[in-house]
Amino acid sequence: MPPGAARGDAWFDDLFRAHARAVHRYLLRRGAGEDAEDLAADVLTVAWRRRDELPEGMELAWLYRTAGFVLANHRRKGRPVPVAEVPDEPDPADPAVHAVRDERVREALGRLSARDRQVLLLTAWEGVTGDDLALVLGVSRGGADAALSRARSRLREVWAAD
Amino acid sequence: MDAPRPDAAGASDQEADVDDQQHPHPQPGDAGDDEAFARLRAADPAADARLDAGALRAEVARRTAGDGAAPRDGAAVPPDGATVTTLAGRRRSRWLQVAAVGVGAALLAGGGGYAIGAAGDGGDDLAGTAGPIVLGQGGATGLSGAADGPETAAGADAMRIAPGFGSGRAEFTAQGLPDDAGTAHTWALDAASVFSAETVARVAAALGVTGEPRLQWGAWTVGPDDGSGPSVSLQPDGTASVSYYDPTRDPWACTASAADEPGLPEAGGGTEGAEGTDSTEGTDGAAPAPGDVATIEPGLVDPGVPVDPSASCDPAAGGDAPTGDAAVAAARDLLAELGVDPDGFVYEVADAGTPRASTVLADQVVDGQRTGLAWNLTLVDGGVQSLYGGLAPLVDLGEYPVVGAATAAARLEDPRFGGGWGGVMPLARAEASDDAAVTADPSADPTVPPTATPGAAIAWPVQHVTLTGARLGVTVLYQPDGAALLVPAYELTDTDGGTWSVVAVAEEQLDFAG
Repeated sequence: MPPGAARGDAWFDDLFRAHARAVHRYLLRRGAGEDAEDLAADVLTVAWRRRDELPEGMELAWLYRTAGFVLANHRRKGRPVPVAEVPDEPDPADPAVHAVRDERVREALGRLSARDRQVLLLTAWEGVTGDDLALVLGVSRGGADAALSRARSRLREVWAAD
Repeated sequence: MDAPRPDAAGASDQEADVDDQQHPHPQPGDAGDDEAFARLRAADPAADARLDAGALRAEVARRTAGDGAAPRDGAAVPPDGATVTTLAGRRRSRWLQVAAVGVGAALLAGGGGYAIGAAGDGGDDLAGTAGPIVLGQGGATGLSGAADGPETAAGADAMRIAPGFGSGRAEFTAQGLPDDAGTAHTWALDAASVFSAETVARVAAALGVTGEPRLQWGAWTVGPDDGSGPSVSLQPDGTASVSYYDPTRDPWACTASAADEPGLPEAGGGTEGAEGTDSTEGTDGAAPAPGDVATIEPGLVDPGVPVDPSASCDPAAGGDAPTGDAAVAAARDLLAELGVDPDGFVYEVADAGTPRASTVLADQVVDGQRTGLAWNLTLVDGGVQSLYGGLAPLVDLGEYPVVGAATAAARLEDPRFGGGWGGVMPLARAEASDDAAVTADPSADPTVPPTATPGAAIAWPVQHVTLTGARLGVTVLYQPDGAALLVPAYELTDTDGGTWSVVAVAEEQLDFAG
């Protein structure tokens, strides 16, 4: 887009074509189930209404972050949970864990904190790294790198202890 | 600067039967791929996810249809329209069971020339009709440009640069509002009366879709469900929604890469390989000679979706869609053929981004107010390429007692009507308090906040709203069983020009059973 040009329908067309499926998968992976499409529509509606806010070149990361809020809203019936407040205790009841088909992976994930799980799934399934991971998590780049490193080493520990 | 690589389960536009073969970027703290991480990656639960992209696109278009248009010169951002209403508990994916949608979306989200007007313009809208009133999930919502609403949202507030903006907590004061209780009409949408094979057959005949009606996932459907030809479906939902899509006439369904064809309309940007996507598939090989019609290389197209070889990117192929009054006339004729009274609607023609298609929005009007029950049609030269709308007729349920405006204002602080939640993030773009964030350079580095001092009061922002205006209208309300109603609702206006909505029906006629 030329700088200063308003984002309009053509921009949204491209955004939808490029990322709608990824958003849908993000939600499916986290246990949205049959609500995944409804929630994906929510995310994309927000993207349209806030179209001037999506950072150029990091649109997908922004969409993932929004999808996280939308999903949290949905689960808690309207109370959004900022990412920084995702609890750090193990939570085997997380729907994202149940969505996983590999039983050993599921058990390992269940023994990790929600924060570790969040970071791992973003990197393993969405492939979000670096600055994009920082944007999705709402932390600094250094914080994202550190969180990822910790999460991966905890995953290794849990896996080995199986 | 890293960019997220294509979604792990395959290039974004592909039907996801593709097996995940993931090739990770090197990551911090990673000396190669340990077994745990590799197994985690392979355990992707969305590996064979399927998405009806066209239906999703149509749903987004439907939700954003009432939004104000983005100004062409990219200057000030208009306040957003209705907030997002999450559908949890209301509908469960039924709108997705559209029988057939192929690649490419026929409808556009939001503005692009719509001049319906942002919420809060009150009675100055289109053709002298007032704007639709939309309730939030809790039954009340803030539609203001300057206000936070007691409305669930995407939590986007946490993404703003300016900290402390928008607590979502608000207290309301009514000033000069009458407490004029009375009665007002309520309507039901009688979907059951039209949901039948006969209805879908009649609609299919009017649209030229061939085939026998069949019941598929609860919806009456005519036409193929693999995108190989036009199809229409009638959903078992509260508005008896109809969706029709003709992939052979989709002006955006051509699959050549737009980057190689300077003469092509920008919106006809093809699919895989087009500019800006993360697809790992390449663009077309040799650039076509000028004057050539772009051809489709089957190997470059998503193999899971049938390609219509007649969908051509050549702008000279096919004529222009009707525009302006001609488009409205065509839409009116079509609605009449579908058994809907065209006089009950106001019409708006939107710029679809290509001369080969026009989008017409027809919003149903009741008592001089647009209801938000709308038809969305995409017209092309010689016919209609897609349409979405509800066939359920309105049935007058009679007069219901309604509270006065002052009582309605008090409901905004009543948790039973969605008020007083606290901590709910706004969706509508704020003007005043957001200026600092908006005008600040978005790429500027954040700075550390000053540390609080002993004994200092702790900031606990609460928005103070003074309501001075009220308009009694109607809003679309879905019951827990999916039934749809038009119920009386107030649109309340505050001193900043923001609007808030709340249901008007008196308590004795509300069933609060949880």
